[in-house]
Amino acid sequence: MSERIKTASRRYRLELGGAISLYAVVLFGAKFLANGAEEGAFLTLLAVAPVAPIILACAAFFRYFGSLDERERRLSADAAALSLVIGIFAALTLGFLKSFGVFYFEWDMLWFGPFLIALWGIVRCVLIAKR
Amino acid sequence: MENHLKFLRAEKGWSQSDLAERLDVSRQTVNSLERGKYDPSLPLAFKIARVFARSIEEIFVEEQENEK
Repeated sequence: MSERIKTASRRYRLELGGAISLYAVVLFGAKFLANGAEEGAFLTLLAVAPVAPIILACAAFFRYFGSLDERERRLSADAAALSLVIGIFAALTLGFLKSFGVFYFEWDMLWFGPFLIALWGIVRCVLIAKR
Repeated sequence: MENHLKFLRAEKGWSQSDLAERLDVSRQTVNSLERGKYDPSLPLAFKIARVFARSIEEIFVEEQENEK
């Protein structure tokens, strides 16, 4: 691996780790402050506060993505496209099952993002193994 | 696409990591290139040619299409 990619990888781990740590702090802080808070602008602000560190994590990922070599970038992009398609199929299938009264899937929408990220990781591993 | 990367690298006494460093790519990419599992872009192909001081055609073997 080139020294540049190693440095970028190290920086990504630091930035992502920082963003995730900040996310945990903001999330628990917001939950704590939201206890007993009345509906209004303040509660809304607390509710969306954890999104800010996620934006930092995304920025870290895109900066890292730009430092990858062409093959790694293509693999990651192909995995993202495939994961998006699989995620859409899964959402549609569950939606139809629910609307036809066959199966009720009541998981929190909060988990859809982590599901897609996990799916991307798995698909990426499969693509690496196949290519 | 078949190529002579592995042979040329061995000639120089370089490891895959050494070549990866010179091409500014990951070692896995060098491995995929040598196995013919990944075809480089034109800029990367030119970089490879420059590193080995050979022409692209001397390094990469164009697949012959089956004649009808």
